[in-house]
Amino acid sequence: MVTEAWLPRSGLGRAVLALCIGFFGLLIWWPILQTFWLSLQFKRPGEQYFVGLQNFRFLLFEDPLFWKSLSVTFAFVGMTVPGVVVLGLFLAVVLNGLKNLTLRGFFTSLYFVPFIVPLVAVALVWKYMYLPGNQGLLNTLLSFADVGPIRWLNSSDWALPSLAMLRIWKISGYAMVLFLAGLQSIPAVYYEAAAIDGANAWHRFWRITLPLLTPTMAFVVVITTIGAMLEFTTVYVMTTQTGTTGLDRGGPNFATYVMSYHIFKTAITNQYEGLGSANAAIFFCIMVAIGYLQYRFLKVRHEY
Amino acid sequence: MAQVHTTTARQDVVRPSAVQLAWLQRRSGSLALYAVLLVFGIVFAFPFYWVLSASVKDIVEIRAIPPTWWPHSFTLDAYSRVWSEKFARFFLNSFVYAGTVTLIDVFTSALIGFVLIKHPSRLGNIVFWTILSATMVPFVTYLLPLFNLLIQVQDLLHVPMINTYWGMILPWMISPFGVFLMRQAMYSVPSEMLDAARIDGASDWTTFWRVVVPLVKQNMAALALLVFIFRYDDLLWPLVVAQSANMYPVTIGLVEFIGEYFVEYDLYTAAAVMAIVPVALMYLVLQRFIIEGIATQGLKG
Repeated sequence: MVTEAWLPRSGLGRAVLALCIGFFGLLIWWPILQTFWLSLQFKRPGEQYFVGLQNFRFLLFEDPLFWKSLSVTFAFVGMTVPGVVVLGLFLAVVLNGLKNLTLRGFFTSLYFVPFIVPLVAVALVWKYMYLPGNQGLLNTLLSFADVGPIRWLNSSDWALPSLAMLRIWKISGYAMVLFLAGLQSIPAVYYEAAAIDGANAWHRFWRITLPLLTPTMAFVVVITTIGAMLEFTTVYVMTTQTGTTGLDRGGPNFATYVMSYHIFKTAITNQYEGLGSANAAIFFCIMVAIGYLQYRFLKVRHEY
Repeated sequence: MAQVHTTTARQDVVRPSAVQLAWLQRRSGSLALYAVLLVFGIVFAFPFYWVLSASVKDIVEIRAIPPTWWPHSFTLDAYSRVWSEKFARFFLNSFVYAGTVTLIDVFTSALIGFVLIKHPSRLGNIVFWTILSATMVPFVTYLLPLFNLLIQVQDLLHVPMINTYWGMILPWMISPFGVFLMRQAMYSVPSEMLDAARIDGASDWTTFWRVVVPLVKQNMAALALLVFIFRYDDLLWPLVVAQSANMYPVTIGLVEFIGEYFVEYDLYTAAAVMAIVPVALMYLVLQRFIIEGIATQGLKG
């Protein structure tokens, strides 16, 4: 769009832009600047002084929990993103092959339900399914195959995969809807040409569908990566450090101690505001880097 | 594709066995398809059945090992106990919080989208890019300064912010993704109609309210649903701002509840069902809008 004027010609336009600048400036950008400012301070309720880069030094070299939470967060991304992409794509391809539009609509809506229901409630539901011993649904199912029982959320090996399974279950329908939209934008001409040339379904998927779906794929990967990086709710609702109940989450033995929870716990619960802000500043930089990739991918998407 | 198959099959009409074989192949393909669809349907739906059935089991049956697949007993005791445990208040808080944010956000998003597209300017473009880049900023990274800001506002202006609805609503009154969504919608509004309204003497505000809003009503409805659902599901911000039980939304209510009644499965499954029902009902009625809204925009995952 070619626009020469610096300001909108209408009074309404000027007022709305002023409102926008005021709102985002005051409630997003100013707090973010504050985060970076606070990251250079020692701040607890009632005392505050400048410490330079001390907080960062502590986080990077002395705080094992920082590195633990970073590795847990990336492990969580590694567990969920491939699962969501593969399952979402598979369901989209299967649904796209369904000729009956009523049934297609029905199954699309059905698979999408988990995405729309509140995560806190779903976390309770899954916590109930993950009950240890032979009381939970999943262990009962496993016992039919003579496996288990697994201690799921109470085991430091299984706690993070348990949360990952929940997330895959919840987000796949969302990825599926995006893939379905991508599939339907592929012109049918390509498939007709391929069919005339004698390509089978397998070839058509690898040679036509997948390459033409690359922009959607990139978008889904980035958006699910960001979502997984920010995981907080399931950790807060489902996990404990002690194995039973308690106020300390992210366990057992820090197995589900994700970055968002580490920041929340340091800055809000324990009120080490400077340290928590330094942690938030590092996390901000990581997320902006990922967001930059998203921007690049979205540009690719537009060119397509 | 199916047509190609049919034509080849018709050519083979002289050999009935080949026709039957082709028919069988087609059928088995679609049978396998339906089987796959059904299996995943069960995978996605079963947790809901499981929690619903658990919530109506009586206190003896819910502790059965292994658990029963179909409830033999039926009681709604858990629901009435949960409801009396302040959950009525939690629901009220959630609806006030999510509902008010939805009304304000849909309005501001439409207005900003309108100005960005129909009253273009360089400043508008800059504002749009800063809004778009704000979508990349995780809330948790500026949560604490935002909370401190609310405290400062409260101290300086004597407007109660902490532990109030306004404090909860304030950060969400304009959302980047709402602006993004409504800005896209504004492309479908013909500029000729706006010119016609102006020639007839309508002010910019009247044009927006009387001409533009009716044209983008559907987009606003889709946005409203998504915003409501995301706010209804919010846990992090209320955890910081809502500090007493009478301000808790349902999400914190559930967290507190599971801490307190962890071994009383009938209670927390009933609580989970109650939290799901309002959203499930909305989805049942308006699913098409929601899925279309997601498919065209691709919101946060």
